[in-house]
Amino acid sequence: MTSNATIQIQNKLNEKNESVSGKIFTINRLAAMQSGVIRVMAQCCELDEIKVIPLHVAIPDHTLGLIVEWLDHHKPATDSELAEDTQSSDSYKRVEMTEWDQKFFDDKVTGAGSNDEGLLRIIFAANYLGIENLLDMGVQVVANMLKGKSAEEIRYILKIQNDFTPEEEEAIRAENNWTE
Amino acid sequence: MAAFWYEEVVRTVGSRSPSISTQESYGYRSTSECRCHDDRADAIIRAATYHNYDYCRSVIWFSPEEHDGIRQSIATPFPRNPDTGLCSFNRLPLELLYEVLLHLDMETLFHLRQASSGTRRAVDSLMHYQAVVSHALSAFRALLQTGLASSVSLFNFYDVLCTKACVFCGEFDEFVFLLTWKRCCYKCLKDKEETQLVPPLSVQKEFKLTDAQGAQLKSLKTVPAIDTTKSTGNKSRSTLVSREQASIISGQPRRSHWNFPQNKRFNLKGACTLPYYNSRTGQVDRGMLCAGCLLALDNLGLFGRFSVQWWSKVCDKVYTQNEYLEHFRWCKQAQVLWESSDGGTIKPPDLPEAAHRQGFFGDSEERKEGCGIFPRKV
Repeated sequence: MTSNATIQIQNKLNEKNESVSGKIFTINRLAAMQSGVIRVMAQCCELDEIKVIPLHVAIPDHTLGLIVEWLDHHKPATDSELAEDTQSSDSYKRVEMTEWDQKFFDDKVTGAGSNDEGLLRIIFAANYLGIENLLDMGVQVVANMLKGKSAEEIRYILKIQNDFTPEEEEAIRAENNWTE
Repeated sequence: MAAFWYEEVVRTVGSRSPSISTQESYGYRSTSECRCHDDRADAIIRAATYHNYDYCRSVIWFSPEEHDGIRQSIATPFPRNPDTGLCSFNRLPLELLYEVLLHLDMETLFHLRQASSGTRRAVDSLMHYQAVVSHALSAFRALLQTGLASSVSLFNFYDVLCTKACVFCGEFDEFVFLLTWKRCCYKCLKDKEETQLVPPLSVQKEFKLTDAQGAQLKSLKTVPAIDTTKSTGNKSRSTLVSREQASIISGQPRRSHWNFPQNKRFNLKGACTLPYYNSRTGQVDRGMLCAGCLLALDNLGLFGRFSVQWWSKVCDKVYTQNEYLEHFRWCKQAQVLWESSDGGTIKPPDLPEAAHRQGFFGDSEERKEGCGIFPRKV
């Protein structure tokens, strides 16, 4: 198969939910194979016969569109590169986020006034589809949202209430004195 | 006398390790293996090893009492019904939430625990965090005080806690170089150029850094040495940077005439004790030295016979518990100490003074009271 071969993914159809329309996405074969789920399905069924891979979990079309875009950008050049990328299962090895990735998350996932929903959807979808590197980046973006923030700022970002009692506040003050 | 000593040293310097038969004939090595039972391990260690507090106290050092006030609150969530979560992130599957927390740096994690009872519970439920606060409070505090906590993630912390070997020489020791967060033995900490810390002005001069290059330098704030017994410590705090990193940023090699020992006097200010945690067995090793080897050096009159390097190697060797029990099987003098300790219940009469005092300097009582790493020797 040439590196230009494409496959098609059909999103699950959900008649009650408009954003899950059963839409078909066309994507480069090598790019799609970064997903563990698609890799397994492509290996199990003869792709020449079945041109469309159906997904069994509904992912909003918008999110799936973003994922296809991400997969395309990170397309491995050859089959052996794909095997290399997907083989290392060292779960604590961090992937390096490039400027493109940063912009992708800033502009399309977390940006434009959208709340955390967009980011969570990407993480859920990457988790289901088994796209290790995208999942890892999503997790890093969440961590970076909190990085370097004070307790007060973290409450604001996560929209949570300070629910400590006065005695507990006292214990927290003792912790802070300990670091000085 | 001095000349004789010098001659002896010159004669033996550079010579290889004495052969096994030589070691046996001089009474250093036992001729037969001492099979010790595992259930006596604690008693043997009490009788024949010591912990050198001179080294611990020359790096950033906190006595265990200083942690007492926060020991419980830093490790356990407040008792509460789990009604509050992490809001939208609470919907993350647990394994992904843990991934996020492992990515976070120690400073943010510290603040996250102070945001709400829910975030506090989430952090405290992590096995990695529990290992850190159970075994490495001093290193955690040193990171927070030097301002380096933001550069070490929980996973990095845990990883080095579970690493046994010095990054330079591969030997086990209980120290960590904070600026790079790598385990490092005391000798490498003091001698290596990679661990050399200097004031920022000094690297500016040596490498002619531009402002932009200077801004890239990772720096640490020194922790004031507050010695409760002697108030000689310097209470002011200063900034130190790595000469190695400055050399890399500027692209210039280090100049050899800056390698004088006095230029390494700040190295220890960027280090702290960090025990070794074996994640498989749960055993914690703080490092021990062999009192038997010290006794051999004191009593057997072999100083001139075996090379100085060899002696310093055996007497300064830091063992984990398992490594030590292995060594003990063949260390004749350690066996002598053990046999005269009445099963580890009394102080062996021949125990060298430095082993009894747990180091060469300072008052032994204060050390034993203050450290509590080993039970007081009886």
